[in-house]
Amino acid sequence: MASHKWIKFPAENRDAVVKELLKSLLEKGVVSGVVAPSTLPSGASAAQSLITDPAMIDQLNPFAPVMAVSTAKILSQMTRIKPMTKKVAVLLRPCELRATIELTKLKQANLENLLLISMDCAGAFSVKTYASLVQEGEDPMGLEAKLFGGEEDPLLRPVCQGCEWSVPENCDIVIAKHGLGADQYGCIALTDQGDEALGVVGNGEAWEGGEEARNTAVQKWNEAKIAKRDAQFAELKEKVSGIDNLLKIYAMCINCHNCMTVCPICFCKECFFNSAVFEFESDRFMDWSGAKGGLRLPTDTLLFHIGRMNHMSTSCVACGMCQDACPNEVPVAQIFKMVGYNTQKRFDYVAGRSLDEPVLLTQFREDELHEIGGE
Amino acid sequence: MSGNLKARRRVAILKTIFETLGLDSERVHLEWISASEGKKFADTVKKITEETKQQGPNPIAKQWSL
Ligand code: SF4
Ligand code: SF4
Repeated sequence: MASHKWIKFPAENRDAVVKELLKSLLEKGVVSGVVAPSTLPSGASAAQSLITDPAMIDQLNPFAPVMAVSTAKILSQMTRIKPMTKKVAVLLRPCELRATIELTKLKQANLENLLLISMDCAGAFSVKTYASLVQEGEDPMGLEAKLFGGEEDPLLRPVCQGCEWSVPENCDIVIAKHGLGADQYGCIALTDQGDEALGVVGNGEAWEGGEEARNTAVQKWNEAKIAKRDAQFAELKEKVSGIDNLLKIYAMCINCHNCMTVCPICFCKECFFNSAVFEFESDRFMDWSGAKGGLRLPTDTLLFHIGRMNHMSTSCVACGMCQDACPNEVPVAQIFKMVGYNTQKRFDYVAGRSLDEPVLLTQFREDELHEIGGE
Repeated sequence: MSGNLKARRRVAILKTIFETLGLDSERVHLEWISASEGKKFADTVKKITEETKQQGPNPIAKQWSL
C-alpha cells in the first residue's frame, strides 16, 4: 500500500538497520520481546532466541542463512495454550511465516500481539552445511548476494533452490531485496502496525516509486524459481515413480520419524503411527510374513510416509525441515513438496497463503470432485 | 451428510498422492473411507494395504520390503 512506509539503505547496513529497529522497539516499549536468530556460542550456527533485554540485540544474526528449527513450531509452542499478552516482534523466513499462518488456521498458533517481520529469502543452508561453510571461512552473506544476483548454489537446501514462495506476503514488515540494486536493501510496511513500528526509528532514505520496480523484480525471481521447481519435479518424478522406485528411495529410511517430529505442520501430540493401533500381536507378524515369505522390519515404512502425506500434504509449506532432519538423506521434503503441490493444486489451495482460505481437510463442498463419485 | 463430502475430499487427496507417486490410483475407492468414517485416515491407510492384498495381482502385494 502506497500510504505505508518504503525505505531503503545501503546493503552493508542491513544487519545494523534491523538491529536498531528491534532495539528501538524494545527500548521504547512498543514490543516487550523480540524473536530472532542469534549466533550460537560455537559461531557456526544460529538459532531462534527470545530477547527481552535491548543490550542483547547486538548478539542477533538476523539473516544467517540457516534454519535450525522452524519458527512456526516455536511460535506454536509459545502461543497455542495462550496468545501472547505482550507484543513480540518476530523475524522469520517466508516458509516459516506460511507455516505459522497454516498453524493458526489449524488452531495450533495464535497471531495476537505478534509483529511479524519477514524477508525476501534467497534460501537457507542446512545446519550441517552452514557449519561447514563457516568453518571453511566462507561468508554465508556473500553467498546470499550471489543468490539474489541469480546464481544457483547446489549447496542450498534443495527445496529452497526451487522455492516459488520466497517473497513474503502476510506479514507486517518485509525486509526487501527485490526491486533494489545489489548495493541496497529496503524495509516495506505492509500493515498499519508495521508502519508504526518502522516509524519508531525514523531513519533510512525514502524508497520512492519502488512498487513498480519491485513487482517486476519479484515476477522475474518467481519465474526463475518456478522453472527450477518444475525441473526438480520432473527429475524427482522419474526417481520416485512406481513401487520399485519408491522402495528404492525409502530403502535408507530407518523409521526414526525425525521427519515428522521436526515438521511444523505435523502437530498431533500423538502420531497415529506411534499409537497403539500400530502395536500388534506376535501372530500378526507371522501372518504377514507368511503371506509373502518375508517381511521388512520394522513394518510399515512406506505406509508411514504415505500416511503422513495423506494426513498433512495439503498443509505442507515446503519448508524442507523434514529433509534436514533425516539422518540418511532421504529426499523427504522434495517428495512431500511435490505431493503437496499436487494435492493443494487440486483444490486451488496454497498452504499458508492466506488466513481466509480454510484448511482443506476441514472443508467440503457438494459441487466438487464429481469425477470421484459419492453422493 | 458432510461426512461423505469430506470423505470424497480425502479420496481425491489419496488418489492425487497415488498419481504423483506413479501408483495405481484406481485402487483407491470411495467406499473405503465412507465405511470407516469416524476413525478417519487411520483406517483408510490401513485398508490400503488390506484391499491391495485382496485385489489380486498387485505388484505391491508381493513386496516384502514395504
Ligand atoms: S512435510 Fe517437510 S517440507 Fe512439508 S511442512 Fe513438514 S517439514 Fe516442511
Ligand atoms: S527422518 Fe529419514 S530415516 Fe527418519 S523416518 Fe523420516 S525419512 Fe525415515
